[in-house]
Amino acid sequence: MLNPIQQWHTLSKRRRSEALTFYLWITPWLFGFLVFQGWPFLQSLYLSFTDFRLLNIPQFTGLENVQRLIADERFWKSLRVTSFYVLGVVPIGNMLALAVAMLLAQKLAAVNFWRTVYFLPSVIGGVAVALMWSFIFNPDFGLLNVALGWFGIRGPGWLTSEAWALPAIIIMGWWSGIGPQMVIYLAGIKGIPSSLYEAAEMDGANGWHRFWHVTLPMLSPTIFFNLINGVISAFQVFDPAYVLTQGGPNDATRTYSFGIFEEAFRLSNMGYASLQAWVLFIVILVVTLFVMRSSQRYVYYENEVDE
Amino acid sequence: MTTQSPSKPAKPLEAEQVARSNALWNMLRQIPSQILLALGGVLMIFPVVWMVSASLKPEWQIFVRPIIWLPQDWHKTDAGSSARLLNLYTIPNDAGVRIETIELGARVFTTVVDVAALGRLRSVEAELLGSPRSERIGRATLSVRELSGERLVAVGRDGANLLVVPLEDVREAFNAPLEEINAATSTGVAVNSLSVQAVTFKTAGGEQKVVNLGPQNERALMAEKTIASTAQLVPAESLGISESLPLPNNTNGIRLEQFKVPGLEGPQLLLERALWRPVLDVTALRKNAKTVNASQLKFDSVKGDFNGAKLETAILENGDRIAVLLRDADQMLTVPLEVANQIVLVPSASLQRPVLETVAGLSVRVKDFTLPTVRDETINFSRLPNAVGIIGEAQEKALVIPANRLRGVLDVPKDDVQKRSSLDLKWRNYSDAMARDFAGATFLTFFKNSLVITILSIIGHLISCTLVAYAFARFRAPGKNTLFVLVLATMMLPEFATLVPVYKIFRDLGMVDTLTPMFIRSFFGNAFLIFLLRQFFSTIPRDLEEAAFLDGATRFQIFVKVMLPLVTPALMTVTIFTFLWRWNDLLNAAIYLNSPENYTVSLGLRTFMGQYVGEFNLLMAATTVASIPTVLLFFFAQRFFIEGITLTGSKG
Repeated sequence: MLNPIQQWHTLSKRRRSEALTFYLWITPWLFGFLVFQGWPFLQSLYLSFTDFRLLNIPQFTGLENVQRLIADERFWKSLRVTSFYVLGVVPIGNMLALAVAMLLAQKLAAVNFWRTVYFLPSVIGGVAVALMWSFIFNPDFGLLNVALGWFGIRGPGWLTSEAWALPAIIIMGWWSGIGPQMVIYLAGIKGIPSSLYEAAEMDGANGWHRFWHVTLPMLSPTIFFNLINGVISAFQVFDPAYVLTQGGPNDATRTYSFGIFEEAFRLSNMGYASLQAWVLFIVILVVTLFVMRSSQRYVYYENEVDE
Repeated sequence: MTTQSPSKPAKPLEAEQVARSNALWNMLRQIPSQILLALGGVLMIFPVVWMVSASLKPEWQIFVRPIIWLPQDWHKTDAGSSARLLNLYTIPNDAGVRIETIELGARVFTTVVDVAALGRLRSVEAELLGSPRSERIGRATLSVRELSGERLVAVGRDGANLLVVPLEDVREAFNAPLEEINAATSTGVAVNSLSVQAVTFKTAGGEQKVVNLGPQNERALMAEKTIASTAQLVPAESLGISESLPLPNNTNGIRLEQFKVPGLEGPQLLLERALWRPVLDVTALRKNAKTVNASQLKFDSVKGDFNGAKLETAILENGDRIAVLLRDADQMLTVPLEVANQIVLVPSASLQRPVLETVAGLSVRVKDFTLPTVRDETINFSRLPNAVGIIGEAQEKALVIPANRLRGVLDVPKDDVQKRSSLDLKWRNYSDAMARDFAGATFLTFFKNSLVITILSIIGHLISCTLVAYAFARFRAPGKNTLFVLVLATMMLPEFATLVPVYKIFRDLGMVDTLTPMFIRSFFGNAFLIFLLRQFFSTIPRDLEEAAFLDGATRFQIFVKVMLPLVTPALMTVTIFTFLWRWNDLLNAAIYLNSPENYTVSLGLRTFMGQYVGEFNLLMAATTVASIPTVLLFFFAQRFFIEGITLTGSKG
C-alpha cells in the first residue's frame, strides 16, 4: 500500500488534474474543518489546563482545573442529572417510537395522517416546546395535574419540584423525539423482506413470535443507530434547562451542557468549561463505544454493506 | 344439470360475499390499532392545540379552574351610560324558553312547613334512615330519606334520633328567606308528645307557625336585560339608609333592599359598589395636555364636574379656563375644558398594566383599558377608551337602578342561572404580541434576523455541501478515503467540545453580537449533509457525466447542469434540515447575540417569557407564530422530511 504522496507520483497527468480538482472542491469543507472543528478541538484541550477568562491571555495552570473538577459537587451532580436524563429519554423514547412504527407499518387507513401527527412535534423548536409544556406542567392549573386529579392523584409541582423537574423534562424529550425515530423504524420495518414473515408463518409463529424472532433481529441495526444518535443528542440537552428552569430547582435540571454554558458564558470560566466539554466528549465517546461493543451481541447484519 | 343449477347462481354471490366480508374484516382488524394510534395522537397533538387555544384566550381564562377549554366571551350589556358592562345571564321563563337577564341580587332560602302538617310526627333512629337526597317537591326543595320503602323528611333532632314526617304530609312546604327565619324567636311546640322548634313567620296572609326543614338554597333575582339601560352611577356616600321593601309592579311581593338617593326619583336598587377612576384617552391626552407653571394660573377654587370626575379648574393669563389634571410641585398638567369633557369614569378593576409615560414633561400613569369584545349590539364602544391616562383619585361609586322601572323580577334557583357566553377568539393577542417592544426591537425584527440567518445558511450549505459531496462521490485522489473518514468523524464531535475556542475566534474577529457567527460556518459545509449528498450522488450512473464530458463540458459545467438537477430531492432535504436547525437554534443565539435588535425568534421568545410573566396569552401567541414557519415547511415538504430522515437511518 502506497502512501498518498507515493500515489501522487504514480498518477497520470489527467489523474493528477482530477486529484487537484478534488482538493480544490473540498477546500470549503477542509477550511471549515481546520478552522472551526479540528483546531478548536485541540485548542479546547489546551484551554482545559489553563485559566482563561476571555479577557486575559490563557494562563497554563497544570492540573488545577482537573483537581477543581474532581472536587466540584455541581459538576458531578450535572453528570448524574444528564445520565438520568439519557437513561430516561433514550430507551423509553425508543420503545414508544418503535411501538408507533409497528402500528403504522400495518396496512391501515389514514397512515399518512397519523405519521404527520406523530412527526409534527419534532419540527417545533426547543423554546416553543418548552414554553408549551411549561403551561401543561403548571402545578395548579396545568392540564397534567388536572388530569391526574380526575384519578384522585395530587400532582407534584413539576418544574418547581426538585424531584419532578427532571422527569418533566424527560416527558418533553419523549414527546419531541418520537417523530424522527419513528420514521427511521418505519423504514427499517418496511425493509424487512416479507419472505421471512411468510416462512415464520408457515412454521406456525404467532404475531408476538414474528415480532420477537423476525422483526426485532432484523431491526437491530436500526435500533442500534437510533440508540447511538439518541445518546449523543441526549447528552447535549440544553434548551429545556435554559428556557424553563435555568438548571433549578437546586440544580436538579442543571444538565451537563447547561453547566458548560453557565461556566463559560455566565461565569466566564472558559478554561474550566473547556475541560468539562472535553470530559463530555470522552463520556460520549465511551458510552458510544460501549453501545457499539454491546451491540455486537444483538445487532444482526444480514450482509456486509457494499460501498 | 340439476346438481349444478343451484350452485351456479350461488357462485358469484359467494365471491361477492367473500369480498365483502374481507373488506369488513379489514375494517374491524384495524380498530384496535386505530384506537391506540388515536390515543397516542391525542397526546402528541394536544400540547399544540392547547397552546393555540391559549393564544386566543383573554389572559384570565388561561390559569383557571375549572378549565375553560375554548376561548370564551361572556355576553355583556351596558350599565346605563356608564363604562361598566354587566354580565348577561340566561334563565328559563315560565314557558321553558331561556331569556336574557341581568342579576339584581341573590337571596338564601330555607324550606319551611306549617306546624299543622306535622300530625304524623315520630322519632326514628338516625342509623336506620338512608342518607338524604335533595328533591324538588312543589314549591320547595326537600331532603328526602328512606326507611324500608317509606319516604320521610326530617324536621328536627331528638337525641340520637331524628324526628320525621311522611313526605306526602309536607307537600305544602315553601321557601322562606333564611335571614328572617334565623331572626325570628323559636319556640318549642309539642306534637305527639315530641318537641320541635318552630318560629313565627310573617307572610302576606298573616302569621304562620313554621318549622325549618332545610336544606338551604340560593335563589337569584333576575331582571330582563332592558333594565340595564336605566342604571346610573352615583357617589357611594349619597346612598341613604336602606329599607327592605316589596318590589313594585307585579313582582309577587318579593322584598329587596332599596335606597333613597337624593336627586333620583323613587327607591333605587343597588347593583354594586366599586372603585371607579377618571381616565382620559391617551391620544387625546398626548395631543392636548400642556404643562403650566402655577404662577401663570389664577385659581378661583371652582371645581368642574367632568362626567363624574371632579377636577380643579383655573384661569390662564389669556382668560381661558382650563382643567388641572395633575400637579407635580408647582407644575400643572392641564387640558382645555372641552378636552376635559372627554374624561370618563371606568371601573378600577378593568384597568391593567400600568406604564409611566411622560406627557408634556410630567409623568402620567398609562394603563390598558380591557376593551371588551362583546356580542351585544347595545354597547356603545365609542364611549370606551383604549389606553388611558389616569388622572385624579379613585372614587367609590354605586351603580343603581330605579325600582319602579322594573317590569317584573324573576326569582329562580341559582342552578338555573347560566352565564351567556360564546366562542370568542382574541386575535388581538397576536397583534399585541407582535407589537411588543423589546428595547427598540419587536418580534418582526426577530423574524427578520431568523430569516436572514436561515436563508444565508441554506445558500451556504447548498453551495459548499454539494461541491464537497460531489468531489467525494466522483473524483479519484490520493488520501480521499482518509479525508472521508475525517468527515464522518466530525459527525460524532459534540458541538460543546469546540464551543469556547470558536467563540474566541469570532470575538477576535469582532463578530460577537452580529448575525455572522450564526450562518457563516454554513459556507464551509456540514459533515452530515455532505455524507447525505454523497450517498445521493453515488446512486447516479456515471454514463450521463461521461456523455457530457465527451461533448466537451468542463467538470464544473457537468456538476451544475447535469448532476445538480438530478439530486433536487436531496437539495430539498438539505434545505429543510438547515431550515430546521437554524430556525430552532437557541444555543448559538444565546452565546453570540446580546442586543435585542440582533435576537432571533428563539432567543426573543425566551426574553419575552422572562419579561412578561403575567401575559401568558401573548406569550403563547408569540410561541405559535414562532412555530409557524417550520410547521408550514413540514406540511408542504413532508415527503422530503421523511425521505431525508429515512436515508440517514438506513445508512446506520
